[in-house]
Amino acid sequence: MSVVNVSGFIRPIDIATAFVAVQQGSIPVSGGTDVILHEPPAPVSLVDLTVLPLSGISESGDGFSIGATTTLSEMLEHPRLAAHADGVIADMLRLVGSPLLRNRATIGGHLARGRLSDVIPVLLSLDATINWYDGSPRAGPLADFYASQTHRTPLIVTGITIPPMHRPAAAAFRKFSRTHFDLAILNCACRIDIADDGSVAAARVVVGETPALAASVTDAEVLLHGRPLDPAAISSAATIAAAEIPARDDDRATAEYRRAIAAVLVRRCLAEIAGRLP
Amino acid sequence: MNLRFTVDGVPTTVVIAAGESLMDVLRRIGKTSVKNGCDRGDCGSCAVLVDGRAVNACLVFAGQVDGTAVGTAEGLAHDGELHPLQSAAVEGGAVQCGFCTPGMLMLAVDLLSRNPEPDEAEVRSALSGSFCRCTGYVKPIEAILAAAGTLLERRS
Repeated sequence: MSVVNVSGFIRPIDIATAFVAVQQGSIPVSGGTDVILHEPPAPVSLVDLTVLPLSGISESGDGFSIGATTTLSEMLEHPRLAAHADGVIADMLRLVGSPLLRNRATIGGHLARGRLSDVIPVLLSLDATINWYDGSPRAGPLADFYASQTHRTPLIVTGITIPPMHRPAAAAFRKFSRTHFDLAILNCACRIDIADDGSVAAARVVVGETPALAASVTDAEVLLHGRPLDPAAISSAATIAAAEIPARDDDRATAEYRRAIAAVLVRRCLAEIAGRLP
Repeated sequence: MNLRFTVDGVPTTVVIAAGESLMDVLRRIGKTSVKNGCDRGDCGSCAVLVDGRAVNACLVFAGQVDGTAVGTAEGLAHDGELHPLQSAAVEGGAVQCGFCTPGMLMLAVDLLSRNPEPDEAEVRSALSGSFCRCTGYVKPIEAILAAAGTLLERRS
């Protein structure tokens, strides 16, 4: 879809040049699959981030570092990343758009947009750290990046780091949509770490497309902490999630519908995790 | 602005608008096998290869493919001889109205380049972004599996 209100196309020589253009109102473009579908209200320039060295996946003791312009297909085809966290990243990516879209759409585009993403709940559940540039290189927890509304300020997302899992631990993702091509009506990602005594040492219960930005259901995480992940705990966490998510009506679903779905998705994620844990 | 890239192996320079899609540019220079089905990335009829990976050409800003190699279905045949994927599609009855066929072929080229021996489930998964208006999916899947066999035989 050609976009009429694009008056310029900038190929930046470095991240600083790209950021200056963004500060002046230009739109940063990575895969471009989302930007190209939205006609800007007034003429604006594009800044092509794919010419910068922001692509690639590396693994170290700190986990996986993924550059912003890495495509979702490249993530899915990275054997170690695809196997990470019980394969939850790969399970999720197979439900994002079509192969054609995943060959073009990038992790950085997802992170910068914030909403309408199955990727972000999973990354939040894994306690990912985001890297960005706003005149200086920055890094911080992904959850804080959204909670503080930093993603709405002029910046360029440069990458994401996914830390190693501290076993025994397990993760799961569930999405509810009309077809898997479609954007989620609601999605859920959970991760549970288990202590030596068999109780939950850390819990993440993240619900997205409420339709607010994906976020932890803190009360459910607190409830799960320090006790076994048994059916009673799972049921309580699901009930809390249904009540606590900031559900609203939009053209996909009503708030009431979303609360009903949230209970089911949280329960299914946690039950899957319980089945996987030793 | 100038766009310099190769199209089906031919070095090409074309003047484009900054917001123009790759699909619109390719059709404008005569590559009408790149079909405009939905113009929003839903149907896969405009699929082309950019440096070997199949993408929806309607969702790509043409300015971003500067310096890349773009492949369309029109570059598959050589010296009048059809590519094994094309032959298999013709012989296997995989072409009905034909609108989705060029895009499906490019998806198949991408798949077979990474996975020369796909099973049926992998072919179905690879084709999942390509919609056939005639709803004829079985024959294209059979054709791709047959072509994969032909290509493997030629290599051995």
